[in-house]
Amino acid sequence: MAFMGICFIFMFSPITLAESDQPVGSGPNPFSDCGIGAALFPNVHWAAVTSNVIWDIGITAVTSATSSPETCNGKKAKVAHFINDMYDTVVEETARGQGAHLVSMLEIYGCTAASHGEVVSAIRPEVSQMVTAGGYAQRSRVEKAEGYYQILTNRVDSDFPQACAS
Amino acid sequence: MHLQAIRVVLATLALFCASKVNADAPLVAAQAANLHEHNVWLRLVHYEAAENFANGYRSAVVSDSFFLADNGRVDPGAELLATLRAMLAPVTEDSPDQHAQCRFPARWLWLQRTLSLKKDTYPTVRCAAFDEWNGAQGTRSISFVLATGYLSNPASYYGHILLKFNAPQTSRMADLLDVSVNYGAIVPDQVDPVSYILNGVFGGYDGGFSHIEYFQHNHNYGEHEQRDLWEYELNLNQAEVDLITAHAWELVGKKFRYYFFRENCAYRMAEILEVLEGLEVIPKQRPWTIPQSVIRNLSRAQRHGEPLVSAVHYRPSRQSRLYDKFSGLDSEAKQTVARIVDNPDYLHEPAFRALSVSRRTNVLATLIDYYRYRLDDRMSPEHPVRKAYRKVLAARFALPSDKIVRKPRRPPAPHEGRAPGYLQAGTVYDSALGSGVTLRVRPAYYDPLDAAAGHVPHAALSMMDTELAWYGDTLRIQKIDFIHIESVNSAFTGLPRDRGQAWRLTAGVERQQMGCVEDCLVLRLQGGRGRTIRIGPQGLAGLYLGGVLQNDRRGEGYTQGYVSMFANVKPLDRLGVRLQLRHATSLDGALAEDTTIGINVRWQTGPQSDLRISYSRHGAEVVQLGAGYYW
Repeated sequence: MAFMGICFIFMFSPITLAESDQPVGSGPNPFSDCGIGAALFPNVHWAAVTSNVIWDIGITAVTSATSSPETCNGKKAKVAHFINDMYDTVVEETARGQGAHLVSMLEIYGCTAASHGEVVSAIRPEVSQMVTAGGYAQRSRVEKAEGYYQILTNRVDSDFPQACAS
Repeated sequence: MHLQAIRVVLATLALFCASKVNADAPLVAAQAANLHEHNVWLRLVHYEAAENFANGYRSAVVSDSFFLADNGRVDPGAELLATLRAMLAPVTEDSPDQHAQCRFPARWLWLQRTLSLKKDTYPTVRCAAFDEWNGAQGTRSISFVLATGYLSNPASYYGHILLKFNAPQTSRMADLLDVSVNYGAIVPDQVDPVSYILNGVFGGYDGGFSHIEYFQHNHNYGEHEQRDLWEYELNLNQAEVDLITAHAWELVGKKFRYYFFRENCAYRMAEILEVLEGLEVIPKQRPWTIPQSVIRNLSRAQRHGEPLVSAVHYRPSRQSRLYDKFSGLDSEAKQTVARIVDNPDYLHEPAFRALSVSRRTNVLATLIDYYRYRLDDRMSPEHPVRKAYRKVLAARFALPSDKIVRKPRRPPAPHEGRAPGYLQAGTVYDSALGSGVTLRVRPAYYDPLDAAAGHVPHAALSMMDTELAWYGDTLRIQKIDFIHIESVNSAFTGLPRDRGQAWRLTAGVERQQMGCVEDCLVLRLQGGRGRTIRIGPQGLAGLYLGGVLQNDRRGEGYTQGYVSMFANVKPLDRLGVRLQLRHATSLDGALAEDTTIGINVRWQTGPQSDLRISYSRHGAEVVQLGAGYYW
């Protein structure tokens, strides 16, 4: 079972294997460690399908990214949340090469405005490869979002550490 | 206004004198100046006039945590003193965010300024939670955001307003992360439609404020509900921005009694803004608050000698973006889009690959919008729409990134449209009853001939639309529509799922037939589903099949089935014509068949006025001429 589990991970999430190569202290995997995955707008009762209706008054849904990556409140966790919540639009804008959601994602990441275009250009080929790979359609939304997140963080860490340091 | 200023001066003087005597100086000063009667204080705590209460006020807030005095909800003076004491109390190291200065920063801002409190007279509290919410650089400006109406949910018919707190930023594209504050009814799960409507109308629900990053609302309104977002950025100075922002923080998580017609989202958001002295944007003397009316008032208001609205930003829904891109394609490109929708593998055909990069980019951009418009979270990964979308996305990835961002065409903004209410006076000739005069009152909102900025084209939405006629001394009710909804898809692209679905629902009373003299009114609930097709650039025709439930008037029975057709055309920009033909048959009564023919012509004579002439034949022939005014 453990062998099959490893193969499962290898087959469907090759990018996540690279997590073991992450520098120490770069933080948890938000997707596995911070509870990312619940749909923000689940299939709710018909009366609540418009946001004219409050669906949870108690949630403090606004948080700001801090510079510490080690916690689930760090900027990388915020980036992961954003990608998960807005996945389809983030991928669409990556295909187009620009968009307000990409700007927002990179703002959360702390990347300078001048670096946004280069970061998007850098990740675009890998994202393209991911969405056209066999088995992509069968992956869950969270798995797809995690794949995108890994592409982004790997590329930023390797090629844009200074531009995205804030 | 002069009285308020006098209060402030008295408070300052009293504080100066009292400060020489004791540490309760601010309280003494506040009492001496009757600050609890100040408009800003009353609005900060949302006090409303209430004759049944000893002090003449009761706060609209029902959450106990909003008050610092035990009787704070009904005693502005006690609440003011309790607030001051709490503001001046020492801060506990383990929970500074619970200090009154952090829980009620707007009250604190106003009290500091009004009483001119000196820094050495109060504790300095660091409000980490509020600072984090407000962002490291604070709020630069505040916007009212109007989501246009949505005919698939009664709570959303008239649109929705939320507040957006704009952080300092260099690009409009970065504003999705701004904080937004929303107000709405707190509806329990598993509620039935009847309870939902009754509780919403008659105050059976609490309403509350919540907050979330703006991108969540942008996604929900723009992608799920296909509603355009219009952002009205306000021209306020930094002190005003700080006060409003702080007050919004005070309200997050607090509850009110929710009333759909009057004390709804538009009312509560406008109420927040009216904390600023001299600003009045809530429509007065109305039993209802329509979001578009608040926006119109905002657009007409002045602040510091300049328009209150400094900029209007448009965020089209996915559907609007699709229609905009599609309309920008030439006929050959439109055919290419249709061909790919019919067979996505055409993307790999040499004929498509031979097109220029820019042409392929434009076609694919339109297709992306089309498939995103059609995608539904419930579709499986192997659903044909998902598969087709993946192919389009892959094709787009194979082309270079967009170099130029094409701005969508901006339609007329909601504040540029006409007022929501309609009043019409006119004359009528009925071949059976003779001549008469008519009066029509429609409190809100629009019909297929006058749907305008912020409305769904060719659709209808009205409540309590009442038509009366006097023939000599006899008053007759022509009709009262308690509610009338006609939701149409205008088949703009003609692509699958954008091919003109339509439905309608009417509940009300109307004359059984024209020319009816006695015992004429029948109570009817009518509904129908249909399809529409475009006729020309601005025209639409449609066919409905439907049914009627009614009281049995003169043996007509309780049920009818009907088929109806309509055609809306616009020969000129200000001239609209609607033709209607309806054929009904009784399913359980004596009425064999019944045909109604109608022609309505509307000439827009001014921004807030029109002239209408109509002919109808249903038993008798009726011709009407009316002059209308929007209010």
